[in-house]
Amino acid sequence: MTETTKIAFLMQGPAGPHVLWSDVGRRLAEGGAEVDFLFPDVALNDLSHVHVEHDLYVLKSGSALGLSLAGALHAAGAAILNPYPVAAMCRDKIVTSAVLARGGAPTPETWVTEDPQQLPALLDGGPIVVKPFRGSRGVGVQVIREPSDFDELEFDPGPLFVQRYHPPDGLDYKMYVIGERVCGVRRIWPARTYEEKLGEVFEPDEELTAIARACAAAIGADIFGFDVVFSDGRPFVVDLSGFPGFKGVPDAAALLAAEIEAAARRVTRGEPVIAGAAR
Amino acid sequence: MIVRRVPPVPSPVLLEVYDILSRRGYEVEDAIAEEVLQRPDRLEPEHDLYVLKSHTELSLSLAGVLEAQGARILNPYPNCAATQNKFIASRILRAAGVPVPDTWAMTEPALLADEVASRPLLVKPYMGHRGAGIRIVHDVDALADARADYPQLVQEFIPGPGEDLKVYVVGDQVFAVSKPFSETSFSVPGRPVPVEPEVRDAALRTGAAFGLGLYGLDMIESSDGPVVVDVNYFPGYKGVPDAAAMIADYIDAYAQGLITLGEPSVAAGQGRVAGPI
Repeated sequence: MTETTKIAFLMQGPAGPHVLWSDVGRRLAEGGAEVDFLFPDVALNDLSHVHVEHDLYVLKSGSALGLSLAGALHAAGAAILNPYPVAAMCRDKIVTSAVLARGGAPTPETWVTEDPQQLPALLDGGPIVVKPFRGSRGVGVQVIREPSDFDELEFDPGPLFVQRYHPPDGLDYKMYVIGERVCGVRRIWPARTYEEKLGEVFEPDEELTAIARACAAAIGADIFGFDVVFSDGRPFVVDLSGFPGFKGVPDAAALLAAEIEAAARRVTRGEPVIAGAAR
Repeated sequence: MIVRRVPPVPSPVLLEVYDILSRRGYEVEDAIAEEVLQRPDRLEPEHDLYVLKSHTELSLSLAGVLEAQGARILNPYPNCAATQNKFIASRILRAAGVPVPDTWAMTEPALLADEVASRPLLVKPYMGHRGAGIRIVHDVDALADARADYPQLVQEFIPGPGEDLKVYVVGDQVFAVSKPFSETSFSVPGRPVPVEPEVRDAALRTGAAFGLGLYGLDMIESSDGPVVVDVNYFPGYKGVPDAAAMIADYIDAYAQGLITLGEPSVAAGQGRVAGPI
């Protein structure tokens, strides 16, 4: 590379140092890249004049503004990791679940409607879980086991995302994919102590690695996380996050820096951000 | 057709479109996404072409599912999604050379102190539709008061003649109606007006930039010429003479593959420019 590669991180929330991402940025800078951290949520963003001035944008932010800014950059021809269409899709559980199911990942049965009256009939096949279709990480999730459970529930207007509820055998598996590396963290759920929240790192077996590969191919991403529960010994992918925190992943900073660097090299060679991807 | 009925009666324009297409041998089915229980993980394209009429989040998501499964959708899903997000739409419009108001994302009101001191600003939801939730502010305090818990954009207020210009487009055919602005004005038919060359130019540039064939624009006729303040896919076409026949012709041609619509993008050559983000 004759010119310095310019990489920007689109971060969420107020400006400030972030342990993992500062480390990733430092490693990229040591590799010769020029690295900027942008905090669109607290900056003055002149939207009609958004210009592409970095070779690669790393979209860490999951805020509506961060994602929208990525959309504007995408339209302006910017290279973004994960690519904007992938990041936008990961925010929409309806599309994500359909794409994962089609890609062969084991997902629970899934329904969508805006009419809560449609839901009680689903209990004939077992308990269900209702999730906000743009939510993440378990916020606003309601498990419904009995028709009488509906008496105490109020649903916000808008799409209801419903899945068959498979009670976990005891542990919640947080899976992380960084390029070729697949890593898992097992946690007792719900966690009661800080140690339980941190969980225990484990090497995924063939089954979980195959699920990770299927998810990666289905959504077209290099860097993402997903949650698996085992119910009666059967795995189910119950959530997927476009750019998680990688809490507990050993060597996360080095792995992420290497993956981002490889993506930046592809971009400067005129190749797609994701190796082998059409988009 | 993925439709949403407000009020719960199909619009006469749509009924006529169904009728014309049926007579040409198409099998036309309409579905309201909100009233049924869908299985997105099992959804398979069953139609040769889906026409996305509805603007609800659920319909747009289902269009996303269908698109991911290889279905053809008019207007294409990413193009519709780009019009719905005003942050993204504003960037695409400006780059296409369409006159648009200056636009910022609402973050810290203090960052816009200089702007609001020099001219009034509008605050609106970034996914808003049909003029709901729009506020006009004249100072930083009002700007801070207008903040909501959902993302908003702040836009230069363009003074106009008190009437909105609603522009409706089918392919390269452009129509305009004028109507007084109000929060309920979308349901009121306007008064057809001649299409000025500047209006036509802005409308067709918008269609090319977003990759839309059936779309509408809201414009304000300012003292400096028309300014585009909103873009939407598949509008109501109220007050447009022979709208149904033109829409049916367009859908017919699109179904036959005679028309292609590109992805929303900033025109070639305007991409990698240095400048403030």
